[in-house]
Amino acid sequence: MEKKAGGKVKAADKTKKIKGLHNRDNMGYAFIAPFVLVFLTFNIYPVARTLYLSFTDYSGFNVPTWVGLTNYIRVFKDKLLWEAFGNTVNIWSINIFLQLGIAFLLTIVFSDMKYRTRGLSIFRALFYLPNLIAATSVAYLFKTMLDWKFGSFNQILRGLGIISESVDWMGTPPLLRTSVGVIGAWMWFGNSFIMLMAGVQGINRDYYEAAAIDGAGRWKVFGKITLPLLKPIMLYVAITSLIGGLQLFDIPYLMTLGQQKQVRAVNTAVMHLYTMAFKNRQIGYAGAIAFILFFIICICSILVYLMMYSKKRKEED
Amino acid sequence: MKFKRLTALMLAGMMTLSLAACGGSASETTGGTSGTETADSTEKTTDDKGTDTAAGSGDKIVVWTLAADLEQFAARYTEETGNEVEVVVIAPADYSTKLTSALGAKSSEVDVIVGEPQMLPNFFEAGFFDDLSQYNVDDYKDTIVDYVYEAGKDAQGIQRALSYQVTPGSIIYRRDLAKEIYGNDDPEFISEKFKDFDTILATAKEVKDAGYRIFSDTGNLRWYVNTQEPWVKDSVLNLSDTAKAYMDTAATLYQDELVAFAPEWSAAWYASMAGELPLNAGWSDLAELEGAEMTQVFSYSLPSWGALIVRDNAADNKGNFGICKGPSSYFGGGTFLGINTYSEKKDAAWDFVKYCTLNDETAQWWLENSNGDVVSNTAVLEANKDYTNESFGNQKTYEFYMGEAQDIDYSVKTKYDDTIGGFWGASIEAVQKGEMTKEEAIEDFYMQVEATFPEITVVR
Repeated sequence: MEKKAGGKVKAADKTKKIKGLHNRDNMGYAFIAPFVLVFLTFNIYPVARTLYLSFTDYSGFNVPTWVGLTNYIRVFKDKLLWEAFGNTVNIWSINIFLQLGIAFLLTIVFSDMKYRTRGLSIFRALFYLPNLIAATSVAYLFKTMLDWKFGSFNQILRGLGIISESVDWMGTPPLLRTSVGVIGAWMWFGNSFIMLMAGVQGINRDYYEAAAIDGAGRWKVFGKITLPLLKPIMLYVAITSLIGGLQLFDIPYLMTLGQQKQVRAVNTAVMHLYTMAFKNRQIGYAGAIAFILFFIICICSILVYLMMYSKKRKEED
Repeated sequence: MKFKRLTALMLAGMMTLSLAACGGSASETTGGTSGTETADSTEKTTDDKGTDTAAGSGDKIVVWTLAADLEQFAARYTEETGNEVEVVVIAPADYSTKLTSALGAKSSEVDVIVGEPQMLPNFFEAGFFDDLSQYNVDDYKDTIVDYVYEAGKDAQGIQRALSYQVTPGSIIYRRDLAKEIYGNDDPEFISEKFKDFDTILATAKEVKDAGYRIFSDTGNLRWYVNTQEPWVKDSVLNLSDTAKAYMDTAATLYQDELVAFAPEWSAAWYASMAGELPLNAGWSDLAELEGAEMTQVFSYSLPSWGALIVRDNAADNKGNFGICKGPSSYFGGGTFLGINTYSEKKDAAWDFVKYCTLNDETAQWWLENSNGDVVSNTAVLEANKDYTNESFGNQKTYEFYMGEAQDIDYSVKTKYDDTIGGFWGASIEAVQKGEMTKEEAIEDFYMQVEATFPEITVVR
């Protein structure tokens, strides 16, 4: 009798399952399943694994042993890491100053009613071009240009009479850091420019019309309308650039490949992480550095979110 | 509906059959292998291990290496035994990563793996290299040079790798320039000119006065740092007096322009072996340096493989070089072979490793075939000690390298050598270029070691 009852339950389950397939909600889950699986496998798992390894002494060869907070405590004692953070901030400061400066100047020019209608899309594409070139090519290009003996940069400066003797751009730490910062600015100013221009285009035209009726001049319009309303976008560009800056790796790494002394000059936090993980085989410690960086980036991202959210709320109020 | 069921049944049947076929072929292979006739050496191994698996024709093994030499060994091995060997040569820069990812996933795709001495401790720790004692490797201990045997042991003293070559260091000098400067090109006389760092500095000045340069660059002396004492002793950093003396000597060589400023592996470095080169060429293309001041390099400090590079690039200078001892004995590089722990053809792999590293005939063949590589086989080295090498003024080079190999103290080697040596080199460079004082550079060196290896105590 019981058996029979059980059989009935099973049959009912089967019907439920078949019905379940026709449920629109369940179909939705089926559709997102591939993404969720890929996301869990390639995003969440590596992050969780890195977090676990950051509490171990894993070298890439041994069986990981739990060491608690040892790696995190070491982060605060690692003078090389703080030097690398210093380099990162140094390079980022040069980068962001130039990047925003150039993007801002271009925005002033192109947001002017006189020029805005002519060739904006062409210039936007041209300015964005450096961002499309692979980092390897950019690094090699600048490495060649900055060669102290035969680099075209020194030759041009000598030709113009600005310098009499070749400058060792790659061999002088402050100059190398400046060079990396300038390269970053050159690669990213187009991106910032597009964002700022999008911000300008998002400003309500009524303000400009009202200002024109009141007889405001070009600079006054820019200073009193465009600039204040563009501030949140500028802040957004600056903070996203900080996030990118904290992850700076490719250009300094490729430019200094194999040159130990030059590496030290532009050793960024991520380069230090890379060295610890793949050269010194201290993967557990590198994991801790990665998570310290992750937290700093998280804080920056939350700041951006709060800034945008509070702005939206103010508008709603 | 019936058609659907029939199709499903057919598909299920096909899948079951294909799975069964896979299993069948696997067992067939195993059976075939164990029943195959094998070479003598492999039969002995089979007896030693007491297993019924052995190398035999059709039992192809795969070798992963960063040294193309092994392709020649494999070709000869196949010719003699009929056993097939596939050699995969991987670029040195990628080798460690590729091996780590493959063997980290316990791949049995490769049977024989190699490593250079600096890579071995990590590979051993990871358990990639199989324990060779199961093949009674200790019976062959006296077959190869002591330091090579020691270098193949892990931290617990278990033998895991062997090498077919030795790589002792030497000073390779120009006999014609020696005669011109000193009126004497005898190796023992020239060796005295390189007996310690102070003497090397004096020699460098004599050579410069004659219009030449002692070395291509200051890095030539790096080999002699910590050849008597380890960088790390009982977990304490050991900045030896030799290392400090190297810093002083390298700085003077650089600042007084006593070297040619042609870095190792640069176009100028290769060119220097054939004759004149532009002074201070760095990494530049020589064609771009027309009209520059010219000089010649008197000597090179290189391991035995470097002698082959000098010989092969000497052009008209061939036969014009001599080989002698520097301030101390050392070794650099070398290819060590072992068996992948996860290999399914370990006996066949051991047969190949044994053939390459412990076989007298192979050693003699390689010595002749490579035209100068120095083998690790003591009997073959002894048998060839009177061989005179015309590329080096008919000098008995094997006798020299055999003596140097026997003087190498492997106990001074640590897993930190490469990294700490790199830090010390960077500190020296800072002093050379006047960016730091000696004290600042030493302090910076200490800081780098402390930051990188917290387990090492730094006593200032």
